[in-house]
Amino acid sequence: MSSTKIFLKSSDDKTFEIDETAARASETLKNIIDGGCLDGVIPLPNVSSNILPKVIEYCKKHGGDNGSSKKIANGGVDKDKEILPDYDEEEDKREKVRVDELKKWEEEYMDFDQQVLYDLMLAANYLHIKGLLDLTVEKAASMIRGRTPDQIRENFNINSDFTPEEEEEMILIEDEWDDEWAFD
Amino acid sequence: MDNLLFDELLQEIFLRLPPSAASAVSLVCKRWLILHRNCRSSLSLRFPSARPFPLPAFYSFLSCYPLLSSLTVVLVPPANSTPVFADAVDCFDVAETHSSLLSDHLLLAVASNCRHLRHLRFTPGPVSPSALLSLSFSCEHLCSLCLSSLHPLSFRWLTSFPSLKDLSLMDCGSIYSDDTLRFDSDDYNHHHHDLVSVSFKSESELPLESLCLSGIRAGDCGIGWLWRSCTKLRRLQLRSCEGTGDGASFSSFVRCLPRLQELELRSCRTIVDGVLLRLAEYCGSLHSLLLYDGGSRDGLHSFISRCRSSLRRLDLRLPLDLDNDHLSAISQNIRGLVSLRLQSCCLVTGQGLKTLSSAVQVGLEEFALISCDVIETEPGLLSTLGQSLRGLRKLDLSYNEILRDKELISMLISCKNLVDIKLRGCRGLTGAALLSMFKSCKLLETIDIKQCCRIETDTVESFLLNSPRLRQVHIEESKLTGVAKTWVSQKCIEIIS
Repeated sequence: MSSTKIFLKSSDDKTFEIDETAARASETLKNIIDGGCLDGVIPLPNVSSNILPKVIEYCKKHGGDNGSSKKIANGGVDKDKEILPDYDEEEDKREKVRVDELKKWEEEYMDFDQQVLYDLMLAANYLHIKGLLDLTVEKAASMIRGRTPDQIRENFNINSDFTPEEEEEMILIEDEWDDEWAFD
Repeated sequence: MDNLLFDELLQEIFLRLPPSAASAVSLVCKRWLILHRNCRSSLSLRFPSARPFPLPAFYSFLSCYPLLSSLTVVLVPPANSTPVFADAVDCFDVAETHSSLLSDHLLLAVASNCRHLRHLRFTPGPVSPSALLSLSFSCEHLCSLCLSSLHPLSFRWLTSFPSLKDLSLMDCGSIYSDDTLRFDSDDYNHHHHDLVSVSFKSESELPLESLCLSGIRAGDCGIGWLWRSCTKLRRLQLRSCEGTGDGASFSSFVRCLPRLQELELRSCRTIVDGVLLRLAEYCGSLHSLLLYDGGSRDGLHSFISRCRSSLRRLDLRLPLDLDNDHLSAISQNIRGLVSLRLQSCCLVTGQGLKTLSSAVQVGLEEFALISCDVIETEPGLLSTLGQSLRGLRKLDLSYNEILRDKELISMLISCKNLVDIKLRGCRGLTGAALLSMFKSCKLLETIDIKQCCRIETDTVESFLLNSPRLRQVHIEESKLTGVAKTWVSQKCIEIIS
């Protein structure tokens, strides 16, 4: 499908081109386009030229096609369906292939280091791209799950600001809550 | 470096973490500790009874979670635990203190720290109306409350909770058998209203929509006020109740019936007939009725024939009180039934079920025949039922030990819309039933095949592989082969063992 081109300018004054349909994956861009204040180039002072191509790549994959990303989100099954159509095995298979292909793409797309992750998360937040925000937040969460505090600090490049005494006290308290006042 | 992520994004990440990650996250740095506690909205606390209880520690602990909207506090029986705060200065010794006093103190701690609570489940022991009043001052938005018991049994404090929709009281009476303790109950105040200056209005309209009470005794008289004030009630659950708190007259009880939509009566033998009689008379909006263990044959029959409500869901566990006459009354008087569950109904025969199924036909979405002899005594019954009930989405045939593959398969062939099948404890079934299931029921999402000892591991494996929409399986862990486990994790199927 041919579409109007939109131009985006990064914080360091580089211009990038994107299809209007793809740009609509971003709520922020969609509002600017629909608001009719489009004046040639849209400046994005919060997004650098390092990260903007990555964002555009995501939008190209998902713009104008919100259906498939939704279906991944609820496990391939539309639970709200009230009236069930006859079961269509072929359709189910095609859907499965589509979902698998998209998952594979996401896996490759998300293969980058921690600095890119921060930038991408901030850009997704600023541009209101919900799918991309979900992906990046999930990746960050996976860097915490099942890790020790030391491993988490290393992953996120954080220095502890607890004094050794405070830390020891914290560990004691947390252990007590864990054993005695356990969270469900 | 993490300063690049502002608070909201970091909290967005925390929200995706399992509770087990909580202690590691809190130890990363001070900023994470504070942010993590701030975004926690739900907390569940269990602590052992019978040891010195660190009340000050409980206060400061709660104060770290300012945004809690949902809190559970329960006491667990003392086990092998050693007192953690044994040498703390301000210990609160449970053993030497009346348990209602401790639970009141705990409730006050909750009241002074958690101002955003909407849901509270608080069951360390009996609480007093005055402690509940303190709670109402700080938690005015509370909408659901579960308590173990009240001391004294009084409900006037409810007028101070303008948003409370849901109340559960796990034990209305049995702790205090001494009648003097019940002397200042609400009805006492009610009868002496002119003499005693009471700060509450004598009759109020409470916002309560759902009420769950257990253990009302025959002599209890404090509950009449509650019935008269619950004019907006939609859901009522009574468990092990000997009375309704207004003598045998039900004169107060009927005031809560007009808008009722759901009623559950469990083990309430002495009051079931009286309640059903009033229900038929005063309520026209009921759509769901559950009766377990109680009620007489005639009382139930007269309710079904006289019921003005358009009932949609019936759940009955009445071994000796339900027979074919009831089923035929249901098929004549209750049109539009969506769910019918029968448990241990040993007097029901195939003829009664066939009459019923041809009356409700495709409208019925959920059908349960749990531990009912009729399946064993009448071959071909399930096949006939299946042909009538083509709209079924949920089927529960649990604990029919002699149920044979052939019987089940002949029913499933007609029921292509099934999404949920429960066959727990059907020891007669083999893998053949499972194999026919994924051929007939392509929409199946949930299945329970626990305690089906003749179903082999290889058929389970092939079933998991071939059921395209399966989401949840109740089965013993030992029935899963290595291959089956791989499939389960790839297809995101939840195993409940």
